[in-house]
Amino acid sequence: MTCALKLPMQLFKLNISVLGNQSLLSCRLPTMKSMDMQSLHCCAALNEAVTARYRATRNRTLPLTYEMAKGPFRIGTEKSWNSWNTSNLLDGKRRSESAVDDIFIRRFITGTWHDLFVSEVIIKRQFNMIRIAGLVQRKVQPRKMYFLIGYTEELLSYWLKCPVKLELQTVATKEDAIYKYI
Amino acid sequence: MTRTLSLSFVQALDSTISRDKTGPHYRYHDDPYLIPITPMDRRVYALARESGRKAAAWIRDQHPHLFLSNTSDAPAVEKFLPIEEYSEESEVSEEILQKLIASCKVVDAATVYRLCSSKGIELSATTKQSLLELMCYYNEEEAVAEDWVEERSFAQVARPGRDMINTWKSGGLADELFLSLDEPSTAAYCALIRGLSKHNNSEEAWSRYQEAQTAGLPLDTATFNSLLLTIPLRHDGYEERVNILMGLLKTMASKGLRPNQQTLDNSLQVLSMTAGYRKTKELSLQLLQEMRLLGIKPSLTSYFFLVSIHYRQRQYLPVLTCTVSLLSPPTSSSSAYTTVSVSTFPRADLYCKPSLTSYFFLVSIHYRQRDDNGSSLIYSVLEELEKIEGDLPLLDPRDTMFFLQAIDVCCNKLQSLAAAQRLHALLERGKNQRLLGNNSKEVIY
Repeated sequence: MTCALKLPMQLFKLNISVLGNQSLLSCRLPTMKSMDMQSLHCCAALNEAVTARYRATRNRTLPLTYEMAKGPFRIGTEKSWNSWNTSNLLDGKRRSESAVDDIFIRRFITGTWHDLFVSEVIIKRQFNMIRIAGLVQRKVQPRKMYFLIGYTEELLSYWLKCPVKLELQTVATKEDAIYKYI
Repeated sequence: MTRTLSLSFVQALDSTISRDKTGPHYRYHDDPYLIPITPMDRRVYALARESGRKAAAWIRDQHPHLFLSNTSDAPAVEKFLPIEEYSEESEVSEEILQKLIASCKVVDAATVYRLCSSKGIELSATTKQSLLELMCYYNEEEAVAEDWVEERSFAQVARPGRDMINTWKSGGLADELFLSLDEPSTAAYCALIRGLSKHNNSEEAWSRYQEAQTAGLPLDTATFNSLLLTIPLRHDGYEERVNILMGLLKTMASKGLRPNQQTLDNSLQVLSMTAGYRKTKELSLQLLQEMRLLGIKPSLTSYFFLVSIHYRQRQYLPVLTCTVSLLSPPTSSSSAYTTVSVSTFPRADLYCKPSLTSYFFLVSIHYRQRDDNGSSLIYSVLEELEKIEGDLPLLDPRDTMFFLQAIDVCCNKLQSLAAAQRLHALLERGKNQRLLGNNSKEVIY
């Protein structure tokens, strides 16, 4: 049950009863919460989009990377996707499996590389190969990084049953990937 | 829809690209922070990556039940598929055994064989023979997996024939298989003798050889070649060893077996390991000349062993003027050795391509003295190698030792910059870089 009513400056609530005994529409001014009722709220303020936007801090200390700073409506123009595959084209295969695998890969990378990735994990699929890219900060020694590279590539290959290649770029500090502070 | 390019096209493209000397090796990640600077770094980074891979492989081996699901729609990559374990309950058949033998899975093949015999499944003679060959070659151990390239690449330089320890598993599966055969065929004897020689069990190798001789079974050239390598293991004196070597070669000739590149290389290896004997150098040259008459040109391995024989101590020896004529084709100027050498082999029209192994042995035998007059062996060797068009062929694992030995001679024994530069120019030419083999050899060079 969706309500498209937009009456500015007025709170308008629709209380829909789960039990179905009460009337479908009833206007009330003050709210009276009952446990057995679901509420749908609409208003101008509430209708504003909130996804992927960060609340500014009073003293402008919240660091945002470029990806975080640009909102989702800029995807395709100033921002690009994090997962690249052909599963969403016509006759593309494995849509859901690719998506779930990407979730797994991102969790795995974030968990294995402790606080080392400063950018999003970019996943590209070409033929049967998966290429994982990202920015990594130089917190650990190179030989430890090589250990992680070998480990990640091998384990993900065994898990996903296809060759996985890591294509990382290191940055000196986390600040190098910060776009702005809000 | 992809079209695969034809091989010649790809090769043509490849010939336009030369080796990039400015960049790091492909095994390193392409990032300034991760590119190694010192040789220590190169080693550590490559091995660290490999150890990460090994850690992942270990996890997968410990918890195979976690890695079973396969949602990939691409053709299966065999390496990533769940590992098959063979136990009491699993179904075994001759086909499975044959498949395992073909993919060289030694331990699994042994397990499956035992399961087959316990379940009473009949195996054909060819399967048994191939299983015997597998066991003899690997001595029942799984080879260090081909995956661990870095480990193999950075392993310490091992000179051929240095560690002559008997590692043969006596009473193991190979022996068991051999004994289970009612009438061991020639092939079975060959396989067993070669396996025994490879794993340095000289007593049993020779006893089996005697058995085969008394039974009148014709053994092949490769078997004789491997027997040659067991000669240094015997505890006889140097002279005895040389006599045995000659005896074995004569037996080969009497059986009508033609020697090949391996024969020359192995004989020179034996000689290089009996270098205390006075006559080794002359013998090595004689051998070389004989083989030349038969059309077997010395290879890099031969040169390696020759160099190591002749450059043992700093002794003054008269200039070997014969060496120059030795290396030239047999139809040219007479060499004292052509007449002196004992013809153990009948002349046969054979043509084998030159092998670096022979050059290796030759150089190692001849470089004992400090020779400044330019007619020394190393220059002749260099001349011969430079004459070869195209890339130097890599025919034997011991070929990779040649450049190491040669540069050692040039730098330490001869102390000649000109020779060293010539050698290096030879190495830089075309694809000869790969002849340095191991990474550690590259470092030493």
